Amino acid sequence: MTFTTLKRTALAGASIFAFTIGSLSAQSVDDVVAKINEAGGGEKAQRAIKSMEMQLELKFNGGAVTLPVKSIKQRPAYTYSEAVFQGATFKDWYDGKNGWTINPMQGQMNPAPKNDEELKELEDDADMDGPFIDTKAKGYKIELSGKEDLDGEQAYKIKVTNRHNDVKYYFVGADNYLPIKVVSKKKNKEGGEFETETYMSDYKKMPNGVVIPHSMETKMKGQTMSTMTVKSIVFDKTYDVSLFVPPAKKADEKAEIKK
Amino acid sequence: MQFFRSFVRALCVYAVCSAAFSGMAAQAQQASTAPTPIKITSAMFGDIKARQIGPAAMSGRITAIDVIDKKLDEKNPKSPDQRIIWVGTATGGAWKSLDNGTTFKPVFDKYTQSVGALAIDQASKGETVWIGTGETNVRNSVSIGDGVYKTTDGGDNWQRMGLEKVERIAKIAIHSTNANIVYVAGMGALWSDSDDRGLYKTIDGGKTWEKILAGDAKTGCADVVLDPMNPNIVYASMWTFRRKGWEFSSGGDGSGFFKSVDGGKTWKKLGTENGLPGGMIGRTCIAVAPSNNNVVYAMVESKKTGIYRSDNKGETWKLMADKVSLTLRPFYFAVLTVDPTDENRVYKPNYQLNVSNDGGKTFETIGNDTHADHHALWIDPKNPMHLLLGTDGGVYRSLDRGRKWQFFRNLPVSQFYHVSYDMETPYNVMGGLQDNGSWMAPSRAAGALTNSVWRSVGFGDGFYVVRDRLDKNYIYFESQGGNMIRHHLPTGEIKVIKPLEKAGEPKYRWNWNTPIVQSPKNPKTLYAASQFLFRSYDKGESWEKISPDLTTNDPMKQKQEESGGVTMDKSSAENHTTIYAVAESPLDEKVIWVGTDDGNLQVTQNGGKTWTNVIANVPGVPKNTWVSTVEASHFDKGTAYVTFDGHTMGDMKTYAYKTTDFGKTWTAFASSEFKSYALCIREDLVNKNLLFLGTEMGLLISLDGGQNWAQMTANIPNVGIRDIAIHPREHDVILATHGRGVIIIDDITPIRAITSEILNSELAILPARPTVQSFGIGFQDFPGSDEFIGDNLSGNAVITYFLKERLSSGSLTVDILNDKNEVLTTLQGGKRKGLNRVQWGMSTRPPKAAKAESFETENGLNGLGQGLTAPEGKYTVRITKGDKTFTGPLTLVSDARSPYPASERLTQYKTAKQLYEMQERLAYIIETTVRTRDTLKTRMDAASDPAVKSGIEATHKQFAEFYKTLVAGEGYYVGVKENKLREKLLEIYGVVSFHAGAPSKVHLDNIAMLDADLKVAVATWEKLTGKDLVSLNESLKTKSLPVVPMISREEFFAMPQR
Repeated sequence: MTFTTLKRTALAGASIFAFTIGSLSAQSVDDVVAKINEAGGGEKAQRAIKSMEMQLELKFNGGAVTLPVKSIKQRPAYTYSEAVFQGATFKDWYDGKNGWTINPMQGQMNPAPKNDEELKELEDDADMDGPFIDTKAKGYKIELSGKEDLDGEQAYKIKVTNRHNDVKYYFVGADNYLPIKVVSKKKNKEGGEFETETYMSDYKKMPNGVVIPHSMETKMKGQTMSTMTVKSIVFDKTYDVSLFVPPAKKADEKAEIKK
Repeated sequence: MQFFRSFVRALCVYAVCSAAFSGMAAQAQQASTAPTPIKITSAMFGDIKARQIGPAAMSGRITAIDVIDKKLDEKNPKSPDQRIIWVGTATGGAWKSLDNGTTFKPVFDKYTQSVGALAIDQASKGETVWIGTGETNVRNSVSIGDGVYKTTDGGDNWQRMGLEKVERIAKIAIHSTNANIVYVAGMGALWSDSDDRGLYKTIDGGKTWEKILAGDAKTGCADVVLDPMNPNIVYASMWTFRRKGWEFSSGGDGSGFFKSVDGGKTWKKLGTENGLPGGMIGRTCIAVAPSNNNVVYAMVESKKTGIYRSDNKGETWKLMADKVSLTLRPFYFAVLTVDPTDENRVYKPNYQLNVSNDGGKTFETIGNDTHADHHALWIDPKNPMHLLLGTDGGVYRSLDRGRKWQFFRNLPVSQFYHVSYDMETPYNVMGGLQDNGSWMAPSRAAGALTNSVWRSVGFGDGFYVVRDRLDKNYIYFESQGGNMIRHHLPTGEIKVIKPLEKAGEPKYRWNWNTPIVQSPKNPKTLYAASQFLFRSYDKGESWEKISPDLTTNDPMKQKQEESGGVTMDKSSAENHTTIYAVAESPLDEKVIWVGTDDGNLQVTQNGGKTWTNVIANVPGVPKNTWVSTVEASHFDKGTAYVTFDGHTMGDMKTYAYKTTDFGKTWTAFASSEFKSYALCIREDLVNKNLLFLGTEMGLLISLDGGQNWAQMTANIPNVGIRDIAIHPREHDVILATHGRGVIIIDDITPIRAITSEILNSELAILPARPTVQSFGIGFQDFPGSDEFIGDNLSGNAVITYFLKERLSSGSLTVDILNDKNEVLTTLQGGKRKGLNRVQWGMSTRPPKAAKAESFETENGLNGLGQGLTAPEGKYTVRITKGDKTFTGPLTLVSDARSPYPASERLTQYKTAKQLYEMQERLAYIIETTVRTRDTLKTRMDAASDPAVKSGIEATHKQFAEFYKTLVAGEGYYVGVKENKLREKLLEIYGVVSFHAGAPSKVHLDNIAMLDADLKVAVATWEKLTGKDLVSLNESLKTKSLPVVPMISREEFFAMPQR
């Protein structure tokens, strides 16, 4: 789902939250979900997307650190992303089942396989349609927690539980059904939780009809950790699936070059 | 993208983490006309996040602990258990740990912070938890509750399930096989009569309640316990109790021990015929042995207070023990716990922890390393060696059945009474806490605000702490009942300075929380108050009594020796007819206001020669209502504000008033936002219409002199705000919360500037204090995960702007421009309705970098990723919203503590800039060298003509060799390769960048050497790319092969990455 496309690329953090259950709207969760999909450009337009390539700008530390990020997704569940910082490139690959990463900050210059916790994250990331389309088939559980005041405005609070039992709360504008904020509570294997709060804005209707937030802000305990801006989006290019797995024998090639 | 997390962690090493603020005299503004109303809402302040700085070094009073073990993998019975701990606190909300107590998070911040009882529905796998609000350790400083709450998702969402008017809940007991059946011990109102009390039962999960055991208007239910094997057997105790400002009474006809065998339908009162004590009964607590439900223990307050035991499910009883250590303060220590595996091992948490191994015959006091005063004890049913103990000073864990204890240093529920500040940089906050002495700590730190930055500076129950403005070696603190002490900070030496009665004088009456006030006008002057006001000009060496008895001197309220009811309880907590509030006018030291706990409001305009009681002029406040603060105005000496707190008479209304004529007439403040009794009021130092009101349920703010109010919820829970201080230099509002430590709202300059015009504008950039650029860093500390870390001040410049409507579509960007109107950076702005905040890291982007092999260099510390710190000076903030732009100023100043003059800082900047440019020159050379080398390699491998191949090979070799002189090879940690020119430049860039002053000669010599090396590299590159590559390309052309391309400098710099 296009609303959720960006959030995984933003920095994760912990947040402290407890919400009041507001008076439950007469609306059913299905009604609200249908309106969310409608506001997002309609289920048809969203399903029609074959692939999506985004150029993003990610900023940390009050803009002192700015990284260009390239993110590519292709159905059914391929993703590739890269970010360049000070001459080194971070990369993530995911082919729907396996994932790999290069992380120069940790000295990991050759692709290393993703662990299963990271794969869970990539699985969500690679889901082009998100939790509000084919909800049951993908193992999501969606509940309407209520309607409540969010920063002085009414918002629907929707609890989304994925098949790994990770919970996200979507706060969706009661006026336009566009998600304003997502609180993500990610569980680790030991039962601990890691919370992030992501605000989405600058929604734009794309030529193919889908509506995409072009601005994301990730907060931890109310403090901004990162911001992300969409610089460009290209839809429906066909990528060779080899893009979504790391090149073979990279280490050898590198050794060769150095000679 | 997991890597971003580690990325940011690494960058933190370089982050400039703190800021300091040079002296800025507060400019008083005087408005001559009545203020224009400014309507504000809580949501408006949402992006201003107050900092909760803790501490958790001493924690606060704990009221309830419950634990559940949950299979990590519910489908796998062999899966290990995750231990989840819930802690309820007296005034700091409810906290949950998912890791057996290593870390906690608050889960009840939006609700009443006083927790009386907490119970996990074990059958729900921990998702369903009940909280009964309103503490039942009914000491003088106890807060209030507003019903019972329930979560069914582990604390994400809460629903109030009724019993709103039951002020206190002592216990929640969940039926062991039907979780819809829940019993709630409703103790009810402490300070007044009420019929909303008794034992309540629901059979539908809280939708409806039935009172199954009623007392009278003075008698509530103090305990309820279900038989662990037969939940139809219910034990309950009723308690007649009452507190007033001047006395406490435990016991009465309604008190007693009750048993039901039919789930509460019918009850039998147990008494002397069953072996329980007769006469006046006080508070009773009950425990059934989990391993043998025949065995029931009770602690019964009576003429024969002691531990009683029954071996037949409560039918007959025997007094087992009545040691003093077991029977102290039964109203305050009302917990009994039996070991889950041994019916004869019973614990009595009291002032200290007592344990019996012989069924209650004898008791031993154990574990004296914990804070005294115990209110909760949990014993691990799987391992009875493991205990969790809740005290007046936090939670402790024992792994040897209570002999030795570990402290949970992660629960910042400290209960401050007052807070003050000093003028150090960073300034210190200081204050006294309920049962936890007096403490001080810096308001921010270059590293982290850990527990270790807090310093204990006083003992006992702590209240006022004052740092002497004339001699900062001294602070004044006190313990309960006016025991004032002067503390010499460098040596730790103390001197008691409490005024003592002189011949012929009546006994001085000192409040539990006695005022000690340093004059705002003349720092030589110190005030202290009993029923008289005292003044000292010599640090408390001598005192002059400057008033008559300013209280009602009502003898009926001076019988503290008779306080306690069944058990005498005299701790100075009930001292009454005393002065509670003292305020000298900052404009005139002869104008002094005094408020008393029995409702007198007195003012002198001649330094104490004559006093006028003006309480009769205050409309609407019931007689004898406690004066909780007086605030003398900073703008007009006839103006003052006063709050009254009637809760000790059962009156929970918010009373706040203003006078402008020395108390002759008063205006009452009123608002639908007022929800609880008022604890304090403060007038801003700069904007006289900006007022802060502390209540038992949070902080309120007014921008129009008290006409309109809104609760400020910006990371401030509904906690009691006992005191408010405003720092005159840094413009911070500092809150003493009774339950959540010290909370700081940094820099209220933008809030001061809000007008109704601003609130009606589409977007407005608000002013801010100058941002101090600090180069100080935190060093090295690995405290583990289990220590609370307070919110620290960001070292970034903070831009605040108001947005009338949320911006859902359309962008909003924030540019920072220098004095030449050059855009230094563009930030993404927040788009919420109300106040938004954006932080600027005060630096340029890092130098343009070429491809590299490693982030590390040989000597560790390098300037990788570091931009140029923006020099001090004036900047412009430009916000672009759609097609409109808005501008405002932003000022960066140097750290006044820094020893370097401006000329040195300029040299530093210029040198860093030189290195920045050198790195960029080198980056272009590296990038083109790498690209050429790689292209040549591809061509070489592809070439079929041996002559072409060898020609390319020769050039490739030259480029490859040259590259090796520029960039170190791949390596990490202990595998880092030898520095080359890139790494050498990175290191000296780091050395220069991380220091605020001028580089030393050693550094400059190094830079000169590297500059020469760079020149050599440039010359080599020019030869390679000019002569060698040109000649290779020409030969390729003659063979109709494509030439090796070269990107231009402009192309390189146009690439987005840095």
